[in-house]
Amino acid sequence: MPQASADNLRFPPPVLPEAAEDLRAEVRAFLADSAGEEAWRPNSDFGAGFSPEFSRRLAAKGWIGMTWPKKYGGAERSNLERYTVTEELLAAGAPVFAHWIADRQSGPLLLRFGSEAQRTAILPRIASGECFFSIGMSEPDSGSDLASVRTRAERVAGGWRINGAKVWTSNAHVNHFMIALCRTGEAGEDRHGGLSQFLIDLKHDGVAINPIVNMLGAHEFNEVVFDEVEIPEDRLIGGEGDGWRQVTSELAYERSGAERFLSNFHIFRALVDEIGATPDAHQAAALGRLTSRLWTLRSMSLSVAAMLEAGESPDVEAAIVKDLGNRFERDVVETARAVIDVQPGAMAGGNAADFPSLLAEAVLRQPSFTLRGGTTEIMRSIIARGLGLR
Amino acid sequence: MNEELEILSHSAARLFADLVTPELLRRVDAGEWPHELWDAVAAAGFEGAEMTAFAATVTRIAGRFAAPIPLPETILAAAMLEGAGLSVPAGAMTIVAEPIAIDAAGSLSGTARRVPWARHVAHIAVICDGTEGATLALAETARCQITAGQNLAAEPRDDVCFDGATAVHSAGGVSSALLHEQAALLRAAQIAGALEKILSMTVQYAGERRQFGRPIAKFQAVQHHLAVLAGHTAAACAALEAALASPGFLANAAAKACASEAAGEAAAIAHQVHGAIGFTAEHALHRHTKALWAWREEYGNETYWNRRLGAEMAALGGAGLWPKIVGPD
Ligand SMILES: Cc1cc2nc3c(=O)[nH]c(=O)nc-3n(C[C@H](O)[C@H](O)[C@H](O)COP(=O)(O)OP(=O)(O)OC[C@H]3O[C@@H](n4cnc5c(N)ncnc54)[C@H](O)[C@@H]3O)c2cc1C
Repeated sequence: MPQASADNLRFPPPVLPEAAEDLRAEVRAFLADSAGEEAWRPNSDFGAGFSPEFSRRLAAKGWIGMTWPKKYGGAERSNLERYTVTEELLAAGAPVFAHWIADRQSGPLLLRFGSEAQRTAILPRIASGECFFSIGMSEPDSGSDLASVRTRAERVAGGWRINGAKVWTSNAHVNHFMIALCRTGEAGEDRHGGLSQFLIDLKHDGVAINPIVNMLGAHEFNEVVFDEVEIPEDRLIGGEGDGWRQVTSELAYERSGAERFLSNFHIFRALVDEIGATPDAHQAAALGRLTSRLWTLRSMSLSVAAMLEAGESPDVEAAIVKDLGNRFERDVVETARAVIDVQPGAMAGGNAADFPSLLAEAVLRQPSFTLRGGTTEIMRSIIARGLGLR
Repeated sequence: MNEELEILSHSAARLFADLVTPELLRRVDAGEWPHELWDAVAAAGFEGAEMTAFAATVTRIAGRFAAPIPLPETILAAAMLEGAGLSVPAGAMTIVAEPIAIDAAGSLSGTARRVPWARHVAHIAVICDGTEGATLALAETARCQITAGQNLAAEPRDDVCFDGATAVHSAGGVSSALLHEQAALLRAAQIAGALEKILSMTVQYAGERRQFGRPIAKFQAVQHHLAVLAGHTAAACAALEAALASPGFLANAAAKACASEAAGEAAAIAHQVHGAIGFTAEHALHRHTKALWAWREEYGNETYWNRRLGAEMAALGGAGLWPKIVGPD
């Protein structure tokens, strides 16, 4: 049994290249300009800001797909530079969600496992901010137990026929494509066999997208039903039966980013202003506690970005950052409501940017942080495996 | 960690593993000074480390073994003395960071509380409040009155009365606040080491202890306890390394605050997983958890550092928060 040791829990702090700091200044200038043109509503969750227009302007700066090869529309910049751009966008509460999934995981997945034809057809469109992706993993009977998915893809002449349903699919109603994990064969003894990933056009005949209104009253996720959807051969991504290995690599991108602790940074920022320059002792300690944890989380998350850059697969490290980061996000909200006397909810005559309104939304979004992208319990089981316990 | 530090931490780990034996600990508990351990540490040159990643690394390894010696105190005393242009005596030393009064003739007055290891060392680097501001004095313990006290881990934390003692002292060039911060950072390093230790002890125990016909490590509730323990350990270690990579007030405060907070959470989990055996005098666990409970309070606990950090953030205002987190401190 491998022993838990300092060595498999190390998060060496990387030094950001100078180029990253120049880039940071550029992103800040861009954000300052944009805020003038299009005053976005401060986010209580990065996933709530969907603006194709903003995404296209980011793309014009070269900040979508920026690590990809130039021939696919990328800018061949490093992961640490991309990290710098994403953390600045998140910290500003910018409306980034339209392109986020495509930039973070669908594009990299296609780059790694897709065919040349898929890459040339899709990646430049993602990089130019014209093509947005949904994640097609969860199903009504398959949440944490992702390997149990039942959506079927059967071979037919010239392609595949898909039947089944995906659920909780964020923004399927406004996005262009989904990468769906489907069953193409027997699961086998390790339960991970017989899965394959497909590129599915969400406007395709037979794809029904049914809204699911969330507890905030917003339509963000959906049920996506496939009824005899026939797609051409070349929509299979990577190898038939390789879906599990591919989806696992996709999850590493999904779990390790700065959005796992910065998704409601705006609330922290607003809280500092709400408290003002002369906090009482309790408020100061509470702000300091959030600050020291944020500082630490950022260093850990940067370290994971550097591991990804070096070609390592820091699954356990990413799970640690996600678990600690999601707890931090929850504590941002819990701290805000505990240290100032505020009733969350719209004030008579107020507006959506008022602190009580922001806080209300933040309280209601809390439960999703520790679910999406893999639950806390699943993260802890991954960490336990890293400790050699499973 | 660079290669040099890697080699250093291996040789430090070997040294402490060889010398911090149950037998040595029994003698220290009975009030003895562990000559052989200190001599070996001095021979290896660990106590002369400059206040850099080197110092934090040996201190962290010493923390992993709960080595009963004033290693961080001696490192800090030497660094302060050198910085103030005073000569550095041989042997173990300790520090007093809360200023003591000094008069124009170099005569000290006042009592410092809970001074680490005072009874066992010959010299104390003392921050003094003189007529020309803060100075550093090198006091000899032989000229002070020492009253024995101890922390939760039974490490000496003695009161030192300096009344009437004269001491060589510098002409300024020292900062009580800086010494306090660095002392906090090295306690954070000791805590990081102790957390690594209890994590590996607890993972190992969970793999060995069987209940209901299987190792308790197979129970998901236990696995998740250990995952949380690993998270706290990783965070405390990461905060320490981040503070070494980009030093400054924010980094130092965050490192001690995270380490101190992790200490309590982690100790609770380690004891829970060990069951009653971990509550016995005979089992080694309490040596490390007591150290955690003691060190988390010393040189400022999490509330102390978080308050100072929070006051700084509040003064910066919301717009200044993010640039402060990512910017140069
Ligand atoms: C806002 C939001 C957006 C989302 N967007 C998408 C999307 O775009 N695409 C997509 O595919 N999915 C999406 N999801 C789904 C998300 O991935 C799942 O919610 C998550 O994987 C958990 O699955 P579940 O909700 O079915 O819960 P379940 O798996 O049923 O879990 C319920 C509870 O049981 C616990 N549990 C389950 N198995 C274990 C176990 N082995 N050990 C211990 N505890 C266990 C869980 O931790 C949880 O606490 C989204 C979810 C949310 C909340």
